[in-house]
Amino acid sequence: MKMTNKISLLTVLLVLCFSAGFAQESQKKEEGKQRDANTPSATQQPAAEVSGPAEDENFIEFGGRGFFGDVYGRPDLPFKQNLRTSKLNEYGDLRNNFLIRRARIYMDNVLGSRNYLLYQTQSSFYRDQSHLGTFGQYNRFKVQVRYDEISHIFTNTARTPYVQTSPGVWTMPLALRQALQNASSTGTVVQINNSLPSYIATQLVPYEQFIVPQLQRRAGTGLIRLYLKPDWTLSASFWREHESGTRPIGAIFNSSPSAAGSSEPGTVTNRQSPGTGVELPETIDYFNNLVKVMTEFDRHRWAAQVGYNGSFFEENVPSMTFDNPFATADVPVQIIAPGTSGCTGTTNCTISSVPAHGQRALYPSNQANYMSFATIFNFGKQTHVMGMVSPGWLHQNDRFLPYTANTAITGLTALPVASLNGKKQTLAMNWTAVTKLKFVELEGKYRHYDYNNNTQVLQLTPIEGDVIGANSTSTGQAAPSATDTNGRSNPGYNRRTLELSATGYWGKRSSAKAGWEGEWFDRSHRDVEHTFESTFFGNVDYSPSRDFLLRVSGRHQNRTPDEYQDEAASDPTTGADISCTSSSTVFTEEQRCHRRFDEAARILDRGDVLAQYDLRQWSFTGSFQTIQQDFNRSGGTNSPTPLNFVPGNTSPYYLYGALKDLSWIYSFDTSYAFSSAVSAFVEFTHEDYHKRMISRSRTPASGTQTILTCTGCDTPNNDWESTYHDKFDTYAAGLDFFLAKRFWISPYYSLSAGTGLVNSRALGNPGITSGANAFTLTGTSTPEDYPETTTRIHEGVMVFKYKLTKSLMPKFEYRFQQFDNRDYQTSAMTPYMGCIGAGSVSVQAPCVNVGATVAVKSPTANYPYFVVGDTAAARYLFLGADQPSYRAHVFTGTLEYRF
Amino acid sequence: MGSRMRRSTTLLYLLLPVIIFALSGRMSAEEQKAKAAAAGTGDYVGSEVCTSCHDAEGKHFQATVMGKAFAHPKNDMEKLGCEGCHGPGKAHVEAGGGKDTIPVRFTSDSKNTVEEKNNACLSCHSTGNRMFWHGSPHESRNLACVDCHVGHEPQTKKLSSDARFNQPLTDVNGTKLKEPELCLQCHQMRRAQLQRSSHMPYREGKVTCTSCHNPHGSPNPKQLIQTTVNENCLSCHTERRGPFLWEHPPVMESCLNCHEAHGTNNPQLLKVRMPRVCDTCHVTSRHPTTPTLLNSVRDFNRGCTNCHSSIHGSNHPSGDKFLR
Repeated sequence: MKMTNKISLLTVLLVLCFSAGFAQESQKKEEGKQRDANTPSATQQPAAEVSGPAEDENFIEFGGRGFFGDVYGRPDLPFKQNLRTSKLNEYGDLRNNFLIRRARIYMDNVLGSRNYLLYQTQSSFYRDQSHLGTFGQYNRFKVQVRYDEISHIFTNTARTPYVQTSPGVWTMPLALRQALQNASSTGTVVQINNSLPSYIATQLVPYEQFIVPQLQRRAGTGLIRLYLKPDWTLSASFWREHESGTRPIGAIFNSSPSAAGSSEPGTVTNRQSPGTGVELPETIDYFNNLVKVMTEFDRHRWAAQVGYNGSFFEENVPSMTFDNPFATADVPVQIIAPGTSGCTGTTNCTISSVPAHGQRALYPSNQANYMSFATIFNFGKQTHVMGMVSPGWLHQNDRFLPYTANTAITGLTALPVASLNGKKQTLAMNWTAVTKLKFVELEGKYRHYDYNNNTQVLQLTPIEGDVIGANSTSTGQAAPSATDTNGRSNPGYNRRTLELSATGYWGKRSSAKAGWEGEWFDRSHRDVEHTFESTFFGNVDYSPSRDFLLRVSGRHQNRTPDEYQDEAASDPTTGADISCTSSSTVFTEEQRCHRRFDEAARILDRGDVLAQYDLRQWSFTGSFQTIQQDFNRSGGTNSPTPLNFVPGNTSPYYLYGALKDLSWIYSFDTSYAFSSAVSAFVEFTHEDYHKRMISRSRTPASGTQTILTCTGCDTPNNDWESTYHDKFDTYAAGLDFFLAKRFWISPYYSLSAGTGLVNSRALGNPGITSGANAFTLTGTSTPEDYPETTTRIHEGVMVFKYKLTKSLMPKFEYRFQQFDNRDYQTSAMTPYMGCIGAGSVSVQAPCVNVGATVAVKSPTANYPYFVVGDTAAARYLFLGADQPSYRAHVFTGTLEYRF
Repeated sequence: MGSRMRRSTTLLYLLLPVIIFALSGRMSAEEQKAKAAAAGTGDYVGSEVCTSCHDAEGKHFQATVMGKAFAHPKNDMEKLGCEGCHGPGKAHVEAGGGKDTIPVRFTSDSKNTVEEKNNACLSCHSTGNRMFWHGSPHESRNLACVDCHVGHEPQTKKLSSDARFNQPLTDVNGTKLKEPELCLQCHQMRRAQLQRSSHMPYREGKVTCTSCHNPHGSPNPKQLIQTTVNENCLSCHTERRGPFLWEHPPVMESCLNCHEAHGTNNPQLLKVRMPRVCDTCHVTSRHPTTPTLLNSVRDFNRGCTNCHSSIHGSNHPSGDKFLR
């Protein structure tokens, strides 16, 4: 018998023995309580179980569970996915096994001491278990210990050739790497591109091992609270959590985001390419520690809290090292003389260096310490002033990794320091003053938040992807470029908000409120230094009778940056800022009219309506909400004139980036009590989200070219638009029965159905094919509509509960759950996505040649739209992570024993 | 932002409470009344008189946390027992009963205003996590304590609610419904969002509304427990706190720039899926601005973060593009 079962059974037996003795003593008390508890009251829900105060409940619910079903969403995969490691158990631990669903044991007046003891548990001894133990005396003290586990399964379709040989070190068998190295460096680039994909698809992927990237969080908490005096409380707690496991993370061995390397080695034969990428299971091994201490003094006229909150994150595996699948040794920059190894022309051919290993930093250990001072002053019953000041200190000082793990890269300068010694100071201050003058309440609030980043600025020479290229004369390794971290390691901000409002009250529950809020947002090292946002808001709550409530509220926000200037939107030669309205023809690193939505000018309008009708038998709640964000403002920090190249092709736009963010949400729920024994509920929510953005396809101008002399490098004729439209419908309906005063039955069904669409189109004139306005959005640069994503979660449940005696209640639950998922980004994922040929890249079977470009759609059996793959992923090994559709039937039979 | 100015401002804010305290004045008339009543004078009759008629309610109350605390009172208000909440009972006794003669009643047919009901609770429960109740969103929208909390009436639980909703273990049981169902009665939109495929473990009972929010009011935006959105998120996701060598400023300012905490249908709780979540801000050159085909390695799987996986910040000397 498994250990879990043994422990569970032993626990149940102990509880039963304990409760037998306990039950005898409290039998009379229990009978009295049950009688009183079953007295109907005006607030009792129909068909509901009535109980005494929760504090006095003692019970244990235990039994067995079984489930079966299938994961059907990926019929293309050559293996059957396990239902237990599917999304069904994303955050849970369903098993075919005995279980203790929950238990609660409460003892009052322990040994006549006026102390109480409380123990609660949920999903005991499973990977999502929780335990809470409390010992104390009401109004005197409380000591509490808590243990929680949370599991998180990311995917169960992952496969990898890697093995973790020590924490954070992922290796592949040397023989396998040699084989892949040979396959990726024998012959011409055409030959390699032809044979390598099929080699990987047939010789590597089928032999990869299965893994289930998942996390497990285990946390223990100790808390003590002392009510030292009627007006003085002291509490302290310590929480420690261990988080361990793996989760998918991507990495490339190249500075270029395209890991194809098909452009290298170019015409040269029998050479290794630096273009490689891998998706790995990220090694997670953290400890989180949280210390809280707080004391509070309360004198009715005033009260004060002083507290300390310290959070300490320990990263036990600060870096990951992983083998390059296609290289067994570090290779320096390769200089090939013309006429050798296929190098044509009159100048040297060059190939960037190739690393045998990659190394990446994981999250560094850090700590955050916060003090908190809060106070309230009461001037009579009508006027209150509350304040809070909380300074904080954040620090991180983990040792740096070297610039590169590639030993063949030489001439690097030493790191200026061994670690960052990163420091941030925060300061939060909040003041609120509220006063009530008969039927009017006046309120003023001021919030202030300082985020000072005092981390030092360093001068570094980054080597991206462990790869470096050749110098401009093609004679040797390039000299690494230096960069400093100003603006990268030290951005900060300050935010101040002032809110003034007045609320008028009439009747018992009616009120009307109007107010204004101003926010000043100052940033350092971002595009906008100073922003002001003005908000007018108001709401009306109307309740003419105790059964009816109508709430209407709205707000209008207007955010205005003083000036918008991206440092990267500057003249590359002189460094002068180039604004959106500048007539300069230089090619800037960032498009001069682009605006980041979190800094850009914006109008936000929001409206909410809620209606509640609550009679004894029937209740209804309906609501509507809309939020409309408009970034597409003309003038100010945006362009004063439309940026459209082809008028009428789309509505005018005055910036690049987010233009609109709109949402509409309708919702209602209703419940009806047919009698005291039968009630029903119905819920529905419809959500509609719509976003629109404009971007421009840009390619850097070469040499001394300008945006007027290059070929379509920065022209509005290459603008493109994208809209995202997400819709969700959520339904639920159910019944509750309480029959013959013993039998509860509750069937219900819920469905959450969502669809998402991302549509994109070019806005320019494709007829212009030359000159500064040349249209370049063709082939693999074509903006296209993405397939609709659909997600549906059905759940149908039937629960029976029978009151056998007042202590014994058997319960039976059947739960059907179906998850349907079609997501173009993950539903086609396999460990190798480069098994595809297009254009000049012709591949061998079993890989598929799709035509002129990968934009050509060829239907497949599994994914009805087209083969998903990229020639640029020829040397990229993925995990093949997906969360396929499943259906599951879960049967749970338990006995609830109350004592 | 000027450390000297910040120190001066801090000092001013710390002195402000001292100044206000000095001006706060003497005890109010209400407080004098309460003290007198507790000394046995005034219109208070004592809990024994109440329970001589309201025996069931009295027994039920005794079993609650408040009842157990009142059994061994530690201050004058607690010594009042039933009348600590309901007000002096002399008029009710002399009238021989009747709802209208009870000074404060908490049911929906009560003639008391929300403020009157709440004052009864706040006479004891004004501190702790309720310190910022006055002026809070729920207070200003006329929400009564008893709209969420129970007094001494029997608690009821529907089987369907028990099967649909889960919450973390707690020793606080004084609410009419368990979370999140309690909050979802008004915040209907969140009920739908909790059903999303990409979600934190709300449905599984590991995270609930009060894991992040304080419904009793807080000085922070959206009644968050911590001072900012990021401090709230980073209290659990501490690995992303930094400071980093290479910061990603919108990440540093607010997690909500990219993520939707209540749930989405996009991977990793993104508001907008890859690559558009990045395209919205980055209009540089080459691949960040060139529209990506569905088939592109920059689109499928994790999109941009197939390569730029250190997107929350990097501490690697060569991580300036968040590649590692």
